Amino acid sequence: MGMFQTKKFLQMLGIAIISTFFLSMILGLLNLDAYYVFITLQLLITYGTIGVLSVFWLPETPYMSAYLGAITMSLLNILFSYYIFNVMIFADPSGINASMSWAVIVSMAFAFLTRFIRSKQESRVPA
Amino acid sequence: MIREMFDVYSRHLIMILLLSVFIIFPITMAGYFAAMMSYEIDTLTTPTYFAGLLMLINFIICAPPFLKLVLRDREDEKMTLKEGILFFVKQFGPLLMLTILLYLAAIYSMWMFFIPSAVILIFLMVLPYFSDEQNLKSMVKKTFTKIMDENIVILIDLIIVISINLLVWALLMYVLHNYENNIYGYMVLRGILNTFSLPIIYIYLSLRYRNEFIRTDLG
Repeated sequence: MGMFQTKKFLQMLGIAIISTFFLSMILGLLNLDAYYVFITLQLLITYGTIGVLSVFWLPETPYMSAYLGAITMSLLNILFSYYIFNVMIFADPSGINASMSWAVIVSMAFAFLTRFIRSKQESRVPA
Repeated sequence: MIREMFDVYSRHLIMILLLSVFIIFPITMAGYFAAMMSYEIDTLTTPTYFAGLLMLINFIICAPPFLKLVLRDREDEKMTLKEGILFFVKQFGPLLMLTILLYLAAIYSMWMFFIPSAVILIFLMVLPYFSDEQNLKSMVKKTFTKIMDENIVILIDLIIVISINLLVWALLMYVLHNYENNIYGYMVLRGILNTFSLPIIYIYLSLRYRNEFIRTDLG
């Protein structure tokens, strides 16, 4: 049954969107001036959620789903900011490169760490 | 169908109200605020399409907890609030992604006399009521089977859904048109209206499309 489950994948993206939504709402209420903190927290929460959930929900294809989820989310972000907020993001290819690379790096790192911790937990012999 | 709907209401009134307040009201308010923000951007040439997408998403993604409530009611069991919210969170992603994709297809195929747009609207209207399936393929397959079974009658459901919304909105506006309201007041009113009118539509449509148990009882 080594199959890629599309519904689980989409559920994972949905939970990433919901967690980003709540985090943005809370950080918006705090009225932070430091945009870098805001952006870094959003990056970690969104793509970290994808990385962690891909291990738990799609245990047969964890890295592939983390990679595809990160690519899909960053592509959605880029299209949204281009068509809705009219940010001229396609005039800056290195910016697109940086955002997509950071997305993939964060989600793959979280997937790797979660899988590592789980394998340690499973291999531990109870004393 | 109407009698069963009122039966469900009388058995699970508190749960329906809690789900409305905790799920439908915040989603509606978030959607309308986002639509307002898109209208305030000067560079955006067609904010109407985005506002329509937000309204459609608002209608599609709030349906699954009520479907679960109706399915539990068939087995004479109750649903807790935690189960309902978890089911909503789990079905959020697939419904949102499919809605965005199919809405884009509907927008770009409007030049074909709105025929694909109508088909896509009907598909999106039926899709949430099969969201308890395990995988995406059987969800889409059962939706198609249902549309083929119901045939042209399904247009009447679409008309019912749209006309309930328009009727309630028009009645409320008739009451309120003498007062001095701004756009935010209308938005809050619309949110309260959705809180009470959407569960009726959701429970009606879940009973309408998930009637396999009723059929076996007759046969």
